[in-house]
Amino acid sequence: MEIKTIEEVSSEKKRLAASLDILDASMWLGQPEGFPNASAMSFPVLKEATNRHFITGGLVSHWSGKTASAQDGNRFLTEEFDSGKNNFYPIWTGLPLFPEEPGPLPGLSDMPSKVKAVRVFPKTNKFMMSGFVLGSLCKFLIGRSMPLMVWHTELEWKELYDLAGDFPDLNIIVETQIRKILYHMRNLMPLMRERKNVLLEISNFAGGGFLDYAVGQFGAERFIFGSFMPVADPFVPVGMLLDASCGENQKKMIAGDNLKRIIDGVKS
Amino acid sequence: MREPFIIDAHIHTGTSWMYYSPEPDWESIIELMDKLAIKYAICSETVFDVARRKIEKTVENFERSDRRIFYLGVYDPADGDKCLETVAPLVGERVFLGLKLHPSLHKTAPEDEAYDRAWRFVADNNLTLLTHSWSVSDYNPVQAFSTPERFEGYVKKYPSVRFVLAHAGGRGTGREQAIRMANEYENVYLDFAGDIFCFEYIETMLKAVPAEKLIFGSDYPMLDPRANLSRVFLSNINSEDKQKILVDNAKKAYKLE
Repeated sequence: MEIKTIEEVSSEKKRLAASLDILDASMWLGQPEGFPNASAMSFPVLKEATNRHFITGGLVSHWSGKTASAQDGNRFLTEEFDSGKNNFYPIWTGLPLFPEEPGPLPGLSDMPSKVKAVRVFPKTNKFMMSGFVLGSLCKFLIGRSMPLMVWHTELEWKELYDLAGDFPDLNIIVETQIRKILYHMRNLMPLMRERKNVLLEISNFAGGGFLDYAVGQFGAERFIFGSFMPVADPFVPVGMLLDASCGENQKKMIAGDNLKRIIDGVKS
Repeated sequence: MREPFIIDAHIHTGTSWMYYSPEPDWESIIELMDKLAIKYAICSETVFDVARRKIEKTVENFERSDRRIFYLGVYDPADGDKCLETVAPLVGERVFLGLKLHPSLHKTAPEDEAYDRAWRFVADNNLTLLTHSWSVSDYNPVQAFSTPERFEGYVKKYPSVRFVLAHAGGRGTGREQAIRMANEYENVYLDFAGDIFCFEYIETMLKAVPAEKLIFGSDYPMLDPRANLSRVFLSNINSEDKQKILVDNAKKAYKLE
């Protein structure tokens, strides 16, 4: 058996992490809510942090989209991305299209072409994730080939099961924040088996053997890298990927290729 | 394949009502340990009835695993005498390293006198005491039973006991208390097992406590060792501190030399 020093193992892991070409679906600006040890990051600080964590770009959200209002978060992001930022794209927060609400909202106002995904907070914003409430937004997103994102803590599994069935052409990315997704595997795994348009962001998909098991069950194309930075540590999903049992091509799909395909496919 | 050298100081085995686990058995953890260069693991129990049923198997598996998976017995204050009777025959055996407390699960405050027997048992037998620790949580109120400062009375009463605060006080306000206790008391250590997945956590903690106090653990099978292990390897700390966190500190805290 080969004996390596800690320094050699660290260097090897860093080299492999850099080779993954990571695109991150879960980077956040603004003040995090409910995480007393986390601090807000400006875009330049976030960008610098991505460099330290082998992340080459991805999707950026704003906490105000949850803590203030969808429109406030979308305004912040529009201002922030006004000057363009190569390989970084905003996620807008969405609401049901009826009753119509004022301000910058997907489907209800002009949306900058840099926006590549929409996230909803059904529990926070007090609406059901059901077709009769969210269907018109889903149709709008399908027309743009744009994914719908949602934290698992914001959804009801039965509602998501029905919605994903009602709109099979809509990519729905379930996000593993902001609490343990591992307590919900007995719902999540059957959902992913039944609804092929449900993808999973993996920042908190760190249960023992979860990634190996789930990739074996559903294929690497169903998983999207996310860090949930600056609340969470990007090296958690990086570490899960580096030592995953799947092949190098599958690791690269999860690390960035799957998200790149989605971003590239969005129609402005 | 790398020669195993790492110590995972916080694992469990078996199934749980709380969560799905595809690989909770001994064979799977040994396979994973080999893959990740983990030489030793320290396995603790939390439910006494399960622990009692598994204890013979635990000793047998220790031998079968080439003496790689060590054991901490559970101390449930509701059944304290039986807990100690169960583990007493293991005292002096290489497999047996000490006891685990879980005040949140056992719903008994850490200051309760029912814990005194556990502290005395560990002190008298030169063993190690591991406890669950966390922060006050608005969505999980029983975590209030396990905030680090609530163990301080016993830490003062039994200063010779090597005491490990698992999860280092958790992700919230408990962290500050865990840091204070690790700095204030020579025999208090912090393991960061579980999903303490805070941003740049390793670097932050090493600014707050000496590198000799921080211990790598996974909380397998609830959490995967690959998560915390890579955080250490990829962090921006020096190799000497990585060696302490991954190997040396667990050896000292659990007297594995």
